[in-house]
Amino acid sequence: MNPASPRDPLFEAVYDELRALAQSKLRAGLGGASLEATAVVHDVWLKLSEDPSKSELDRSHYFATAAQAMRWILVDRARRRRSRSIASVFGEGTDGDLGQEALDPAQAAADAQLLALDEALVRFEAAYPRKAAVVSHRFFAGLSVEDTARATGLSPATVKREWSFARAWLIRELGDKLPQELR
Amino acid sequence: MPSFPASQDDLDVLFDEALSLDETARAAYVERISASRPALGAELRELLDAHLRGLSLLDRPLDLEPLLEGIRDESESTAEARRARRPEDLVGSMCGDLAVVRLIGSGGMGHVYEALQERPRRRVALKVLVDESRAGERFRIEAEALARLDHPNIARVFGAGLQAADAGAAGAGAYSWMAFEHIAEAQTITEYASQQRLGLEDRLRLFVPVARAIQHAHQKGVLHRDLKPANLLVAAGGEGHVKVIDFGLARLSEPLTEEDKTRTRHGELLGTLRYMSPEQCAGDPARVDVRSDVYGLGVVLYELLTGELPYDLEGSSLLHILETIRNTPARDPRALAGSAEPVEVPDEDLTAVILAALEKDPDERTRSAEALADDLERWLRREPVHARRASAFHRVRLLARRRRGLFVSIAMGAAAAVVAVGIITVLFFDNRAKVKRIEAQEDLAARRAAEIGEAREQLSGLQMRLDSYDWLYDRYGFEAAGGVVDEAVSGAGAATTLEEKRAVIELAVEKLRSLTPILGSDLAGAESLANAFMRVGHSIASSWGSRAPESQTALEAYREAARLARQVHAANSDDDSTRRWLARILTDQAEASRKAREFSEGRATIDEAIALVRHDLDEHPKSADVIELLIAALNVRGDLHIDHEPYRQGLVDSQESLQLIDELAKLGAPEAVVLDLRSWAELRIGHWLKREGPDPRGGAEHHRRSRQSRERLLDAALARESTDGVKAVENEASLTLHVFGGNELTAFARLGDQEEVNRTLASLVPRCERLLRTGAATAVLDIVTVLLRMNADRAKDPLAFGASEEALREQWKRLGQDRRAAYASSAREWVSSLEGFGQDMASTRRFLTSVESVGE
Repeated sequence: MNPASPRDPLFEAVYDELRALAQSKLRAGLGGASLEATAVVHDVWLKLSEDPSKSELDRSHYFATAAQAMRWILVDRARRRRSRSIASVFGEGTDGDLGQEALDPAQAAADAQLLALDEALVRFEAAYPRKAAVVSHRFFAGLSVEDTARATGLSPATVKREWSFARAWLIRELGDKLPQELR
Repeated sequence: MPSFPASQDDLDVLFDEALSLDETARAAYVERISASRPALGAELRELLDAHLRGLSLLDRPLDLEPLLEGIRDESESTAEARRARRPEDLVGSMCGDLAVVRLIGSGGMGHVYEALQERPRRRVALKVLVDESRAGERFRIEAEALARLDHPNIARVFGAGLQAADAGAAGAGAYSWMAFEHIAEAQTITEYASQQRLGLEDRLRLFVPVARAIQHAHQKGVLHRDLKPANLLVAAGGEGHVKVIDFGLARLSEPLTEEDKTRTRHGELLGTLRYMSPEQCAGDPARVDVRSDVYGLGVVLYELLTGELPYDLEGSSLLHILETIRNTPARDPRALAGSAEPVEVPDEDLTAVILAALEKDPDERTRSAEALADDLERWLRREPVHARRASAFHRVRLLARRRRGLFVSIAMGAAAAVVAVGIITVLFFDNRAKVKRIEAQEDLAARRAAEIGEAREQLSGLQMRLDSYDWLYDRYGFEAAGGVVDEAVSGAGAATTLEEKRAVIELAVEKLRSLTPILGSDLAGAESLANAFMRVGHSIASSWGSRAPESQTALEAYREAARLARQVHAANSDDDSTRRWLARILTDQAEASRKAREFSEGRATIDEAIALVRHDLDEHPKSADVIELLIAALNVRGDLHIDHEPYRQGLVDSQESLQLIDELAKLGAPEAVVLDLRSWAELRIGHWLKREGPDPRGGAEHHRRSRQSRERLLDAALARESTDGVKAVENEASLTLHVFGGNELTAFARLGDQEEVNRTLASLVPRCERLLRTGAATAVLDIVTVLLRMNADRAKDPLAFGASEEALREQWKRLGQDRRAAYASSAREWVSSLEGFGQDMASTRRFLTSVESVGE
């Protein structure tokens, strides 16, 4: 399967839509509910698939792209907050574009976890590209085993097996990386 | 850090297998695997543990809210802007474990940021490569080399790697980065010295560790390639401890891609260019070695002590800077010291050290950073420096070389003129012609193949550089592009065949022409282009005889050079050097007109040149330069009137030349120069008198005087043979025997005056014998041709020439077969050309046959 390239015009469109939708949902307030990736990714799919200009849009290609775009959005946010937090340790701001409100520790922990996962995933991808695609769909796009199977063209049983191995591999990898309280 | 699985092929299969078993069977399975493949077993066990342990992050649906914190406030435009992938985009993000806080600078292929590391807590300079696909591998190799450097005066490398970029970062995909020691609130070495008001010796003490640092790097096989004050930093509170930054990365700032072109600004290139070595300016990376860094150190040292660069580059165009660095000697630092910076004037020794590091030719330059540092330390200890001795010797040689250059250029012009007249046939042993002849002979092909291959390789390099013209032009404008063309033209001599050379020259002319319309009012650019056109003309003139189709191309090049030079002159009509430059170009154009048989254009052009020079001479009656210019122009005018009436103009001009030469002698011109000029003037007068018909004996007498002047030069060349080499003797012998002696013999022979012929031979023969003893191979051929000429003129061996002939045969035997073949074929050409004049060549041919047969 072809991992979505950031220079791909579809990637641009999906990236924008995901961001905009997440932004509007958060702005509207969630009323105590959490905002899950799967909801955002599916809503954007509905929107794009209704767009006549995107009639040729292929569902499995969309989900692969959305997973990649979501990963980039999240990692970007986390990196920026991490950067800001290190800069504040040195007693200085950055020329970045984030607000300057204080970071709360839970936030910092979530960021550290996500960045560690992202780095581990880069290494995992190098060794197991197909399994990494499954992780991307399951984790970043929030797809179920069945949806992942449909999007990747694998059988559900294979998806389950691949996910199971990838999960164990990543947990082992992250075990050394994460602070105790996050393991 | 856990690494990749020991055996990726199996691990997932084993894992699946193990999971399908119940707990006890699974334990036994893992045991079994561990027994045969312990590493794999251990890894499998780790994975199974991890599987049971779980991780909430992976086991719960991802909650976006905390992760997207801040996104609700972010405007659409910043997201848009971030995806535009500007270098600023990395700021505020992470590169590995480094928080990128600000962009410090950008170069052709990379950006430099200030970044923060949490553990260990430190500030670093982060260099990021923009185009991974082109230079990534090289970048990583450089990083490894840099990591080996360990010197207190070199900024340390903390790490390097490949970072997967996120959507907001500098570019798509992964990018290479390198983290260096960050020099806080740094000043450049020159800023620091100024601000601290350091004296001469303190400045040297500041500098010596820099040279030592470069020496260390060279020992580790790393070149800096971009030494300049901006890369020599003193940290705030660093107490004068200089750190060298940006090692080896200069190569990365070379433009590579289309995209890069738009990124690097003209000014940046100019900033770096000022400190580049002559060989770097020549654009030949293969010639850049440690001595390029020595040169860079020399420029920094110069600037540190004087506050100025070694050359006046104020307001110069790019091409002009390239030219200046390659050709103009450094200004005397003593003349500048104390004006821009309140520093003591360097003494003669220190000046020698500085200038030795700035030599144009790497072979003449201070040989290493170590030698430079040693010499500076010697100077600080009041010991004699090494550079001084070397430079005094060098200057003497340089002087000798320059003078020879002058001889050759004057001689060539005149020799060509003589050929055109048709009175004398000059055997012009052009290198290319020789190669061509030899190529035709199959048995010699193998022997020459290597030589020819080498020359071709050089040529294809030039061709490639010319091809790079287009992107250079897009990027840096016509100055740089012109520089490449210029380079190609001056190197076109590397061509082994005229066809190859023609190809290079045609391409160069085409490129130069395309540059001309975009010049606008840039006078420095016009000057550079004019010089480039002029060089095209020279290059053609030296390769093709007159009447070849190329002479038209040469003339067109000179026309263009003159047109541009007139523009420059019009804007600086009071400037003496510009006027003389224009006069020189016009003189060349007139000479080219004659070769292309455009006589009326030639005469108009040379009259314009002579008017300019005469005006100049009125203002500077005692200027040797102007007098020499006028002599050259008068010679060309005389030649232009040979092919056209009235001939008398040539006589008048040559007689004026003779007076001017006397004037030059009175002004103290070197004797060699005077003799050279006089010999040519006398030779011309001899021709005019014969041509006019009134005074053939007078003409012969002038030929005699011209030969006598020339003989003194030959004797001087023979005396200098041990220092100047056989080649220099050969050149001079060729002129003396062939052109001057030959003419005199012919003139007296035509008068039927055997006595005078004998007198001439009495002077020439002993010199022939001396030449045979020097082993000057070409001289042998000249003797052959003198003999041939004698035979042709039926002046049959009146003296005891037999001994010489025997010596000649000996010498002939010792020559390689290829040389013999080359000479013999030249001799045949010569014979056939003389036959064209209706001479009886029977005895000549007999002699030739006997010479050819010797040793075969």
